Amino acid sequence: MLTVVKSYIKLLYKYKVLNISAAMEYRVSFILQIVLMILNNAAFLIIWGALFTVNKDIGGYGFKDVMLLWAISSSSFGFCYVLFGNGRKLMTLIINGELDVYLLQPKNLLFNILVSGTSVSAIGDFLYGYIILIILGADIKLWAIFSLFVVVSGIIMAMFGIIVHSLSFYLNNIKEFISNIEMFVISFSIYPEGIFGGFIRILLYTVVPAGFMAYIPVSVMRHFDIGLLLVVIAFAIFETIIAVTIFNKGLKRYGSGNMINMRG
Amino acid sequence: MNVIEVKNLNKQFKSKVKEEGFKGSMKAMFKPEYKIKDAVSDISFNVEAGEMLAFIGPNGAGKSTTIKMLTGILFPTSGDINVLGLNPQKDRKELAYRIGMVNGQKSQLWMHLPAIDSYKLFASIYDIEDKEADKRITELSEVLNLGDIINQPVRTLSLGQRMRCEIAASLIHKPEIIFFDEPTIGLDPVVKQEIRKFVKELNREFNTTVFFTSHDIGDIEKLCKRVIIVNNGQIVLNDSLKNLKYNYLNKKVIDIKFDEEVCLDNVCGIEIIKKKGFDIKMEVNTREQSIKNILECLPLEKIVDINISDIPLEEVIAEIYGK
Repeated sequence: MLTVVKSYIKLLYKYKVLNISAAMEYRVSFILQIVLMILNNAAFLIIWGALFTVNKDIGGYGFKDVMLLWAISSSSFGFCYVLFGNGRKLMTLIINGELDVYLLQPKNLLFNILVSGTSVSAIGDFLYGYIILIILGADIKLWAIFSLFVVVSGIIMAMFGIIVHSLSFYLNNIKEFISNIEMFVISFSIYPEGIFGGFIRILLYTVVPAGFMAYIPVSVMRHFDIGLLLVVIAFAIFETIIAVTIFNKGLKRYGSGNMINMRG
Repeated sequence: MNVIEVKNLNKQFKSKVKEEGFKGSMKAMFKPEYKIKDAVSDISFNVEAGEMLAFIGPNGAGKSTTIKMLTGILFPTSGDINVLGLNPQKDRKELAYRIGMVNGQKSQLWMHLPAIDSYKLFASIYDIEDKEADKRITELSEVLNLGDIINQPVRTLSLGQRMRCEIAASLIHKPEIIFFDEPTIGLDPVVKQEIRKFVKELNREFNTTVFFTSHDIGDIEKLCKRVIIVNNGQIVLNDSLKNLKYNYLNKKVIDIKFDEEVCLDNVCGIEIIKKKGFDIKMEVNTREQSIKNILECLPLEKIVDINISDIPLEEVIAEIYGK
């Protein structure tokens, strides 16, 4: 068991080194993607800062809370797509028949597919959350809880993506649907929870997991609650089981294809 | 000993049928209709250890679909597959350690990085220790004459160089069976020859079973002893190349250059296929008429040059495809 885990960790490391080396072949583009993503995220906080000069409380959040919300959403998004970079391409890989290469390799299919890609701009997202922690002057405890949530929320985000993308085994090209639902999750993860009520809030703790990815983590970072922390971890495990099951069931419908392809 | 056993294998694909135009699109939106296509239909065959088998057929015949089922990429609709004692769909990971695949149209190498970086990654995928991987890369590099090209970004390589690098990538884990899916597509004759030579050596030295698909009949003639021809998802011929030639190459082409106009109306058993000036090209069915008889009927004193050859195997195979 330990040998298997070691071999997967080694593979993960090699994939990341390979992907980042490939991206660094074009160094200006590589640096720009990371820096521009950090600046892009920072622009939103400037707008929030302006809003909080007018009103000290928006949806039960102060400016510091919104900063924490942005930090956890950004870093967990970054963690998810630095680690599982092919998560956002899964539908394309499925409908273009590009899973063949992975199916010929003796590794867990889903793990192999997801980790074989790395989003460079997501490095900027990942770093951005930690830059906010530095600005907030966070203590060691906050750094630790934050980092734990980055991992757990990142996994929730990845698994949600797998569920949505795996629908393409059944529905074929659902690019627009996926793009909308991904935007939906991101959008709801960067606004204070209190501004949503009723049915939307139910959605955020069920179909769209923004509540588990962002709101509960912010709440735990404000007032530590082990129970809520465990709820988020349990949800991540539950969602992983659902995602793996849906993917494996869908895989039986995989049609491969004869498209000519190269790897990036 | 059989390393591949296929019994009554079937694969069906479901595809949407749409009538032409906007009206057709609207109809398909609210009342979609589907048709079932039999990509592979009830095929059975075996492959022995160390055999070099040609699995050929026209485009859309079901060759790639069959290979994909044998390697665990696709799930069959029905039928049994046994590869190296394993079920490719249930034991995909275990089987992957023991088989390799080279696909002329799908690259497994990282385009922006040198092939050596991809090889080191593949070594990790196949759980090969770093030292062992380095040794293996050196070996393959020597045999495939890769030299410095493994240190250049793959995108800068010629198609021939890239294909040699692809083959090395598929052999890093010393597979017992290697599936070649059109590996010589688009390659020049020199590179084709190099690849054929390497595949032959691979089979001879390591007894690697080779499962080969190609539209290039030269590949088949040079490499394989047995040929399976598939068409419309069914096996239409499963025989040795020797028997195929014996049974189907029963026609010869005779090219004759005369020094003046000649009349060949009295020569029976020939079919004139081209006539230009004093040059005549004819086809003879050797089952009906021997070459000796034909030559006896020809005005030998008027012949300037003569060439007798088999009809190309390619034509024979095209004829079988057409049946």
